[in-house]
Formats: sequence, C-alpha cells, structure tokens
Amino acid sequence: MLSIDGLDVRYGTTHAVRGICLEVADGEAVALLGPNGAGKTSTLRAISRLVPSTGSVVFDGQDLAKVPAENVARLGLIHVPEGRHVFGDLTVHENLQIGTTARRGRRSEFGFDEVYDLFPALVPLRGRLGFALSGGEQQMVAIGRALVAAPRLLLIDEPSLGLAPIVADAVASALVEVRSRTALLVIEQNVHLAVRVCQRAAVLSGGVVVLEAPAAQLHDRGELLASYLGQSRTGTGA
Amino acid sequence: MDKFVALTASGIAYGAVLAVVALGFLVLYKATGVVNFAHGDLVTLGAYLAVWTTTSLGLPTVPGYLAAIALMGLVGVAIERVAYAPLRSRPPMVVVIATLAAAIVIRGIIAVWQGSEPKTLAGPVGNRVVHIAGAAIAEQRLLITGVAAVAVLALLFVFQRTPYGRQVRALAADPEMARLTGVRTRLVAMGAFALSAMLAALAGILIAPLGAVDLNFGFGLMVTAFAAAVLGGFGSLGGVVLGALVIGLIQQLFGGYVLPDYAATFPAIVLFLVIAVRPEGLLNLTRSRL
Amino acid sequence: MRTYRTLLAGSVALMAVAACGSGGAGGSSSHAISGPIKLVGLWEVKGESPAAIDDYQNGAALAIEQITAAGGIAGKPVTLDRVPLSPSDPQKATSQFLQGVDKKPTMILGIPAATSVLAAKTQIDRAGIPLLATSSTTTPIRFGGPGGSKWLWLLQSYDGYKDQAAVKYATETLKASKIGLTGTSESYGTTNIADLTTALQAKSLKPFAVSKYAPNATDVTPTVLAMKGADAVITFAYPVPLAVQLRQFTQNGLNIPTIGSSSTNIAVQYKMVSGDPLKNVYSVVSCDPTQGSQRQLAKDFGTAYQQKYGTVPTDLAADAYDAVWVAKAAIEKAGSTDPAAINKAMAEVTVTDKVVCSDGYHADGAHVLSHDVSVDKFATAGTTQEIQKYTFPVQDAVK
Ligand SMILES: Nc1ncnc2c1ncn2[C@@H]1O[C@H](COP(=O)(O)OP(=O)(O)OP(=O)(O)O)[C@@H](O)[C@H]1O
Ligand SMILES: [Mg+2]
Repeated sequence: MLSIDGLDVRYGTTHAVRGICLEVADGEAVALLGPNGAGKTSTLRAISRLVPSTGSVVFDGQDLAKVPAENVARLGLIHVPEGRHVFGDLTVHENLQIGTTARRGRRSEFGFDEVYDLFPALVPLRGRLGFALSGGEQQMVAIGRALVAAPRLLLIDEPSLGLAPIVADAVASALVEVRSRTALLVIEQNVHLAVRVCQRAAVLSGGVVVLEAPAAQLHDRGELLASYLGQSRTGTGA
Repeated sequence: MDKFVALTASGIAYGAVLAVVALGFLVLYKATGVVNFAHGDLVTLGAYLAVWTTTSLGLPTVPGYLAAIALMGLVGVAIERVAYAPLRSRPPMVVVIATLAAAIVIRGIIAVWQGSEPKTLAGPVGNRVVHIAGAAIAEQRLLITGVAAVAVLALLFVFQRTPYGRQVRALAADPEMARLTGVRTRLVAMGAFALSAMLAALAGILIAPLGAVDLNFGFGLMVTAFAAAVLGGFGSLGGVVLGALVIGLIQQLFGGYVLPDYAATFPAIVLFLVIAVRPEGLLNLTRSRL
Repeated sequence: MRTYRTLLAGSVALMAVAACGSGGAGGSSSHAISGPIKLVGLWEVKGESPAAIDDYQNGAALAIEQITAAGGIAGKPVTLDRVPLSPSDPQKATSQFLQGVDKKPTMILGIPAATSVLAAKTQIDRAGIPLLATSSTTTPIRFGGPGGSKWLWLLQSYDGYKDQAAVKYATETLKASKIGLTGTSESYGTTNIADLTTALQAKSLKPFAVSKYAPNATDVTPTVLAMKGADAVITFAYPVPLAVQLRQFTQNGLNIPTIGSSSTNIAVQYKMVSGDPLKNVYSVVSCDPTQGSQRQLAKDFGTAYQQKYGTVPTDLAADAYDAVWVAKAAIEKAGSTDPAAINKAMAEVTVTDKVVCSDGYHADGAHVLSHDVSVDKFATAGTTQEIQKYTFPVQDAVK
C-alpha cells in the first residue's frame, strides 16, 4: 500500500531523514518510534508532500513525488498532524464536515454518526468552536475528521502527546477499533500504546531506521529499545 | 424629527454599501491572506463595466448590471492568474505591493478605455423619492439598502452553511491543515478573487447612480470600508457589517448635527483610534464564529 | 471641463514656489518683422494622455487658418507648433515648457492648469519669451504674486471675480438676502467659500449657512437640510457632488435658486444632472461660447468651429482661439519679433477684433487680460443662456 524507498529530508544544513525505507501493507498497522528529533514527523510530512524530499514515496502504485498535498489527501492518504490542528474558528461538527472534502466518492467506513459513536464525548460538543476544546477533545476531533475522509491509510503523529493516561487510553481504544478497517502508520512515544495498536514497529534514530520488528517482540527487546529511545523506562512494563 | 429620519436613512444606505465593499475585501483576505489594495479600483471598474453594458451594449438596466457583475467575476479570476498565482510563495509584503501595482494598472486601463471624464450610470428607479415621517428619501437609497442586505445575508449563508464557506474559513484559520483535509487552495483562492471582484462591482453599481463615476470613484469607498473592517475586528463578517453601519450612521449624523466639515475625515480618525487603542476591533467583543 | 481638470490637478497640494530670480534675456535692440512668425501651443491632443482632448489645438488652428486667409500677422506667414503639456501633471510642466522654448517661438500660448504655471515659474522668468497662459487665473500666478512673472500674461478673468459675480447676481438680480454657501471640503471649495463670505460682507451680509462635503460624496443630505430656508445658494464644488446636491434639492422638494461655477456646465455637459433639478440653476463662467451667448462674435466662432470640426466648441477651444488673436495683436503692435518689444506691447494692447470670451482684452497691473464674467442660466434640457455679463475693475500688481 505504502512503500518508501531512500527517503531524504533536509532543512538547509540539517539532514533530518537519511535514506529510510519503510513499507506499510494493506490493512497493516505500523508504529514509528524514536527519540525526539529522530525525524519521525519529517518522514510523515514528506509522505504528505508538506516538505520537499528526495527518494520515492509510492502509494497504491502511484508515485507521490509530483502530487500536491491536497491531492495526496484526496487519494485517501490522510494525515493527522502533530498538534492536531483542529480549526479553531469552526465548530466540532464543521471540523468533521470539512473532513469529507478528501472523500471523493470512496465509500466511507466512518460517517458522522460512527465518529460520534466512537467518541461519545464529542456528542455534547457538536456546536462548540475548535479553539474552546481540551487537548483530548481536539485529538478526538482530529481523528474523527480524518476518519470521515474515508482513509485508506491513516498517518497519525503522536496521538497521545500531552493527554492524561485515561484519555490516552480512550484514544488508543478508538485506534484499535479503527485498525480493523483501515491501515495505520502511527508515530508514538508511548511504546505501550504503540504495542497495543500496531502489529509492527520501526524505530527511527538520527534519521535512519535502526530497528524493525513485530510489535510483540518489543516487550522482549525492551532494553535495546530503551537505549535507542534514550529513555530509562520504555513504558512497556518490562 | 424628519431631519433625524433623513440622516439615518442616508447613513444606513451608505453603511450598506460600505458593508458590501468591506465584505469583498475580507472574503479575499480570509481565503488568501491578501489585503487587496486594488479593491477600490475594482469597485470603479465594476461601475464602468455597468456603464458600458447599459450604454454601449444597450442592455436594459438590470440585465446590464448582472452582466457587469458576471464580467467582474472573470476579471477576478484573471487577476488571480496574472497577479497573485505567480507570487503565491512570496512574502505577504510583496503581494500587497503587487496589489498596489494592480490598482494602478486597472486605473490606467480604465482611463485608456473610457477616458477620464466622469460617466453616469442610470439607476433602475430614477430620481423618485418616498416620504417617511416627513423626510424625503430617494428610492435608490432604499434599493441600495435592500439589495445590499440580501447580498450580505447570502454571503453570510455561503460562509456559514456551504462547503465552500467552510473551506474558506478553514483556509483562513490554518492553510496547511486545510490542504491536509483536501481543500484545493488554488481553486478556493480563485473563487475568492472572483467573489470579491463581484462584490466590488455590486457596490459600485449600487452607489454609482447617486453621483457619477470617475477614476477615483472607488478609492474613497475602499478607504472608508477599510476603516469599517478594522472597526469590526477585521475577521468576523458579522462584525464588519456592524462596523460599516456604525461608520455610515456616524458619518451622516455627525456630519448633520455636530461637525459638518469633518464628516469626511471621520472614518480615517476612527481607523487611527481603533488601531491605536483597540487593534482587535471595537466590536469584536468575543471571538466570533463568522 | 477646464474646471474639472484643473481641480484634479489642484487637488495635488499647492506648492509654494519661492519668488526669486530676475527677468532673463535683455533682448537685442531691433528685430523688425522679417521671417515667418512661430507660435507654440503648450497643450495636448487626443491620445497623448488618457485625459487629453483636442479642444485647445482645434481652437488655435481655427484662428491660424482665419489669420492666414487674411494675410498673416503683419503680412508675414504664421505657423503653430505644439508641445504636449498635461494639465494633471504639474511636475512635468517645467521640462515641457523648456521644450517649447527650444523651438524658438515668437510667443508661447497655453498651459491648461494654474498649478503647472506655478511650477514652471522660474523657467518662465529665465526664458524671456512672452507666455500667454490659458489656465484659470488663480491668486498666486498674478503679477507680483509668488507665481507671477514679468513674462507671464493671463488670458482669463480673475477667479475671485467669479465669487463677486455670484454674490452680485444673487443679491441684485435674485434679490436674495439669505444666501447659503456650499462646496467641496478641499482647497477649491474652501477658498471660494472664504472669498464668497468676504464678498457677502462687502454687502453687509452674513452667509445664511455654510456646508461642505467631500469631493467624492454621493450623499449630501446634511447639506441639503442645512440649506432649508435660504433664498439662494452659491456652490463651488466638483461636478460630481454638485450634481448630487442639485438632485437632492429636488428630491427634498426644495427649489432654491442655485448659482454654481463652471463645474455646473461640466456636470450638465456630461449628463450627471438633467431635467427638473436644473429648473433654477445658474453658473458664473468666464466664457460661454455656445449659441446661448449674447455676443455675436461668440456665435460666429461657434458656427465656424461647428463647420470645421462638427462639434459645439467648449470654453477651452474659445480660450485657445482668443489667445492666438491676442498674440497677433501684440506682435503687430510691437512691429517686431523682439521678445521685449512684444512683452511691452502685451501690457498696452487692447484686443476686440474677433475674440470670443471678452468684450476687450486689456492687461491690468496684475497681468490679467479679461475682466468679464458671464452668468448662464440653464434650461431643463441642459442648454445655457447667457443672461448677464459683468465687467470688473482692473487690478494693480499684487504686493
Ligand atoms: N522546519 C524545520 N526547519 C529546520 N529544521 C527542522 C524543521 N523541522 C524539523 N527540523 C529538524 O529536523 C530534525 C527532525 O525533526 P522531526 O520533527 O522530524 O523530529 P521528530 O522525530 O518528530 O521529533 P519529536 O519526537 O520531538 O517530535 C530535528 O533536528 C529538527 O530540529
Ligand atoms: Mg515529531
């Protein structure tokens, strides 16, 4: 479904992503892990054509090199960016409505009703403006907005960042639900959450993929992972 | 009493036209981030086009007006293609300067095409008046108020209830995120240029029958409308409409009762005061949805 | 039209030109008339700028044609050369004037805007060639004023006389005593309102009310309401808001006699106002060359002009036509092509032959040649009738 080969991202003299290769198969959920500054966000932004890059990004047989960002979305490659970016001047429901812009005749697994079922907390907030939402509510809106676009592959950048554990848990549960219907590529610092949602994980460090493994094995290789992530505790419970 | 009624009626009509000018200005700003200083000259051009369709082409008044407004939609698209699209990735200051250049070019084209002598545009209701509470009010002013109100409501509806309106608002709030949701920013920008130019033409056509059209016709309106937009918080459409009515009323009532000689300067004074004292706009009390 | 374009130019801030520099070329002793005589007109023809018109050139060319047919100036052939000078661009006036000087003319005619004359003052002083200006005669360009020059002669009657004529007509003929003053809130409107107030004071009157509006006003309701109860209104405004004012008077059921400036003629000519609002409207103008004129010479000119060009002449065409005839008279009186001699003749000559806009041009101490102001009355059809003519006293040089 998505195949990345030799992807490079540079910002002036900073070489943020150094020739990485990554595959996401149909229906697969892949976690992208790595320490701060590893190049995770840069990779996702390059896939969505928000930053210039070299190397190839092929989605469903189509090379995305010359496709503008809005058309990448219209192909069904939907990006939930770091920081959520809910439209502050639009209501919750309008945020969902604008999500359908990229749908383009694809049959959607998620309509508005399904999103409200998935995130019941949003039901009473339908008419509230985006800027008046809490971080968790914003994350729900951001994911809901992506789901109504009939995604074929969802790119999600740090869904649990800054959320209370209980809210992060609700988001994780929703993603597990989503995984059964669409492919996922999720950046996540919380390894526990990543393992819960994804079958496979790739660890990025210094702009290169340093480790790729089935998610289940991450528990066993906790120490190694910890050294890559630069964390004393990996959150795997190991 | 009749004096108050007459001044209020003319203030509302003037404010209504200002609102149409200011909304045209704002639609474009929201969709593209461009503050278009050629907007006043688009008002002028719209009025000249209406003079052309009704005299040279010999169309009846209202179809002639509609043809002029439609033509201005094409002019808007042309300006987007020629003046804006090539500068899309440039800093805002460059684009603003380009709009000033566009203003001069538009004015030059009108001068070559129509000459610099003033033209008159026939109004659909002629010089008729109605009497309300003893005050004589020109029917053209009632027409202005009515048509402008319909246009403003239609625009608010488009912004509030249609996918295009949502896309413009999304673009105004967060252009990159808008692209990630599949919003075609170039098409939306082109649409906004067309819509903005059509609103400019409408304003020009509404007010031209009251006086005459010359090369400077739209510029003064734009400056006053700019003051109204700033007063309204330069963002919320509803606030801008309110700002326009306040400026129109104050200019007429202030001019009629207090300091007649300064009436024309008043919008500029308001502009200064608002920028200096309350840059978020006097009427922008809460962050508005519109 | 003159007013309209001059007003546009005048809306650019008036620059005070320091009064300095002495008269230039002394001129050699005797240049008895020998070769052909060359006149240079400083004006545009259509196409040279967006606003350009043919009126000046047409008027002057008609005069040259008639003079040539009658044997030239002092029996010598006369040619008319031209340098385009735009009324709305006073910054360029200096270099355009110098281009005219480079053609080595016997006399220079034209310059359509008083601001351009003011801007070219220093070069006019230096060139030492008599210049007969067709611009309106504003206060600063009179001889002795900051823009005046020994070599500069002013064809049109003084602007201040128009104010006096308006007051005279309102009080003496219309028998009005409650006279309201209106105008545009920039220099044209405000200076004239000040002069009108002075003229009223000379008759022991105070303005009934004063009201100004913006040059781009499309609604003058406050002004209209302020004039309720006046028995005459005098208006010095740009044509567009003036037309609005006349229409709004009618809409409010007011039929107060209104005396305007030549802006009124422009507003009517461009059909900004017609029909009922013209029922009680007058204007004070320095020249009316239409068939409504009382002067036979003006009618003759109109007929000849209509025959040659197929249109009714404007006052601008008449000014250029008169300028050529005045130049002829001065050169013949000097009996020489010596600039100093012609300049001296300009001060002495009286011109009544052929001229349209004055009963007799004769320079006063302020170098102003005409002292006539006409009052036109408008018909609802838009035609004018010259119903009154005033001749004002000559002035001394400005101190
Ligand atoms: N717009 C930019 N301009 C210049 N350098 C940038 C830019 N964005 C990111 N970088 C640099 O590129 C590198 C990778 O950044 P990136 O945001 O991709 O990391 P990340 O893995 O997402 O980190 P985090 O976990 O902190 O979000 C960092 O060194 C960062 O400083
Ligand atoms: Mg990141």
